[in-house]
Order: sequence, then structure tokens, then C-alpha cells
Amino acid sequence: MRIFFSNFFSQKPDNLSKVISRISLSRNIEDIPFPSRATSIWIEDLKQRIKNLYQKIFAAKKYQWVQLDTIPKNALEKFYYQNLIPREVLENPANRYLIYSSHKGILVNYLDHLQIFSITSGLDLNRIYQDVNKLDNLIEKNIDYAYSEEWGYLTSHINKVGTGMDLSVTIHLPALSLLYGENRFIQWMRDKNLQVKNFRGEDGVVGHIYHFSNLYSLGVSEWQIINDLKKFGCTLSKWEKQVRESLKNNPPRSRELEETVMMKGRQLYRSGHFSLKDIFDFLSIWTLAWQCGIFSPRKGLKLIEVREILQKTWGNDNSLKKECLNILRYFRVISGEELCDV
Amino acid sequence: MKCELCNDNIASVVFFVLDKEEKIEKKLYLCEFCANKVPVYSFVVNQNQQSLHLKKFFLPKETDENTSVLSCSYCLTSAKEFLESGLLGCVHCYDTFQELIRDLITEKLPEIIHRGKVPVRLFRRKKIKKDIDHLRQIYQRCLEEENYEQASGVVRRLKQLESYLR
Repeated sequence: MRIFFSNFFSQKPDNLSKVISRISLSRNIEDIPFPSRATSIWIEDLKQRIKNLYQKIFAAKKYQWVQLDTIPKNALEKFYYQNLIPREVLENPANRYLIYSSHKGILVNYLDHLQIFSITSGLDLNRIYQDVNKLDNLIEKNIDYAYSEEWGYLTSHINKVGTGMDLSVTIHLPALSLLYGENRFIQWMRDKNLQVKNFRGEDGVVGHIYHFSNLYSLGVSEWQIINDLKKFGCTLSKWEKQVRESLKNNPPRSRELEETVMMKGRQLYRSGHFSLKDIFDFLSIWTLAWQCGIFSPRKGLKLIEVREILQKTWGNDNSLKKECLNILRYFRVISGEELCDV
Repeated sequence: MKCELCNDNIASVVFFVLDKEEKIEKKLYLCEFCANKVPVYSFVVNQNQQSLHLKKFFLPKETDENTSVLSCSYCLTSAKEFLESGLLGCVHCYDTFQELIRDLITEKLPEIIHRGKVPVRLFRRKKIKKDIDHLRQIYQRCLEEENYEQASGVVRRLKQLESYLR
């Protein structure tokens, strides 16, 4: 616990949580059925073609080739927590491959033959698009993609047909959620033609973390999608900061938040039945109070008490413990390296 | 039943023309294209019927039955499977379920035209085709002006470009 505490103290109170952006391009190879209908012969053919391509181009560029169903579960979980693979692949890694180097790479045989992706912390979407575009061009020189002049890049899901681009931004907005209400906020995002999910890829928001992405990929260019989402992400960050600022400078509201956190913490500690949402929502507002300077490590709900609450909630459930720590890391409450020490 | 306006496509939409007392006065059987594009209101209004109301209903279509038996001959994905899972099985599914996909997408999108990146091989192909069209126009002009020397040069260049497309 020592490192956990020392990291905690080292944080500046006005820090916002991380913003994570991810771009992926879905591509399919001409003449091979999409993964949902491909038989083992087709999958073997796909694997061989991509492996040859890897040896020809990517191995020299220090990319790693991983057959996901042959690695241990904890290595797979690490990929999941690094956002390199989605939850479905974590649960079913059979016949799926990953070519990666740091935070960019290619996921093979998931919903489409290839999912070329790049991830960054922050909203530098232009840079990560250039990353994926470079990889895309390299592959395209060697493999013919499924493409039609009318529909664009053909994908297994019709929502991605066109550019094949899926651009998502994960952002923690507790202050805005408390101000406007989660449901109203989600509806507002949907009205702006965005798909809103939680960080686990499910519907609904957990821990006030919004994972929004472009709903359509046809009829718009890649740059249009990027510019729209970037603008939207920046606006949200700005609003969140403004609301936090007013929360800090308004003593009655600060007290209200403090009481809410204390009450939720007490409820969680006493209750025998709680959902993942209950735990994460509590962690979210506790982090907000701490980041706004309303709580300090010695005031309000103290660290030692939060630890007790968490230890009681996760009990012997290791996966829940990992999820909680991952969320705390995302909130910048702890850093990634200290996970094992807690 | 065929569309009463274009007489080409199968009718899938009925317009009920109502009188002032909301009684059905006339029915118009239209295809989806005409129902969306043609200003039907102007079509039914005449001098005596200035204020006819129009109501649009979708037919419990015969086409639904045809759609549900559709399946892709390459990957064997059926329309039912596609609608249930939301996933297409191969590139040929886009031809097989063209109408269905169009219906699903146009519900959400204003237009269906790809505006993004084009694969390099197709981008070059498109450019070559454009050049060929341009050269053909020059060739026609040369023939009209009886400038056969230049025309033969154009033909040589045309053959070269056409060979790139093969």
C-alpha cells in the first residue's frame, strides 16, 4: 500500500482524468468471406497471407506477432487494459491475432479481417489517424481490399461501411453528469449522431466515463469525422473544467458534493448488494471531490477508508479488483506501474 | 402490384387520399422511390378538391416475404441472419441485400455516397479512365478536322492507356 499512498499524494488537485482516443480502420480482403462466415480453411488462408505480410513488412519495423489464443490469460488481460483488444476478444481469443508495436497495430480476424488501430492519451486525433493511414497504405500495396465505388470499404457491419473508420473518445465527465444528469447527457450526445457506450463497450454509462464514437462512416470523409469529434471532445473538456471551477468556488455546492461522497461511501460499505455501477460511480465522485480540492488525503473520506470500502466490495473477486484499479489508474489516482503493489 | 406513377417498380407504399371528414376517397399505390421523390400532393389536388389530406402507410408488403427468403449465393448468409446479427457474410452480400441495406442506412443517413479515402489502385484506374475519355474527344475532333496525323498519335496513346486497364 505504501506506493499507492505515495502516488496519491503526488497528484495535483486540479488534474483532470485521462482522455483516451482510439482510431480504427476496418478492412476486409477481397475474395475471402468476412470472419462471421469464414470457415477454418478461409481463416487459415487469411492467417497465412497476413503472416507473410508481417514477415515482409512489419517484422523489420519491430512489430510483434501474437496468436491470442496461445498466450496466458494475464497477458491477454494486459492487452485488454491497454485498449489493444476489445472485451469480446478477451473472452474469445480463438483464431485471432495481433500485430502491435507500442500503442498501434492490427487486430486480425475480429469483426473484419483487419482492424488497424492507434491509441493515444489526449485528443491528438490527427497524429493517430496518420499512424493508421500509414499502416493502411503499407498493407494496401500488398493486399487488395474489398472496396466498391458506391459503398466505399466493405465491412461486415453496415455502420462501418464507407471509410471503415471507428473513432472513439473516452472521457471522464463527473461534474457535467452531476449537473445535467447522466441520461440527459447521453441523449444529447445521441442527438449529435454519436454512439455512447461505457468503457466496457456496453450500453449505458458507468463511473461517469463516456465512450463516444462516430455512428456513421458513409457519406463523410475521414477528416470530417476527425474534426467533428475533436471539436466535440475539446468542448466537453472545456465545459467540465468550467463546471469543476464553479464547484470549487461555491462552498454550498462543495459541501453538497462532500456529503454525497460520504453518503455513497457509507452505503457501499454497509450494503451487501451493489452493482459495478455503484462502485464506479462512487469512485468517480470521490475522484472528482479529490481533484477539485474538496477532499484532501487527510480530510473528508480518507484514503484508508476508501481502501477499506474497496477491499470489502471486491472481497475475493480478483477481476473486480483489477477493474477497480484500472479505473483508478484511468482517473490518474494511481499510475499503471503500481497496480501489483496495491 | 406495380407503382401507379412510374409503372416500373413494385408498389410498397399506399397513399390514402382523405376527404374533409377523413374518409378514404382514393388510394394510390406507389413504389418507395416515387413516394419519396414525386410531390404526390400536387398530383392528387384538383380544382374541386383543394384540401385533400394525405396519409402514408407502409404496406404489410409482399416484398417482405421475398426479402426473407433472400440469401447470398457465395457465403449462404440469409436475410434473416443478417437482420438478426447485423453482420454481412461477404462482399457479395452487398449486392444480394442491396435494397435491404439501403433501407436500413437511409433511415439514418441523408445520402449514400462514399466520400472518404479511395484505394490507390482504384484512384489510378479512375484517372486513366478520365484520360481515355478526354483522348476520345480529341480523336473525334481530329477526325472532324481531317487531321489524320494527329489522330493516329492519339490512337496510339489510347491503346497504351487501355492496356493499363486490362
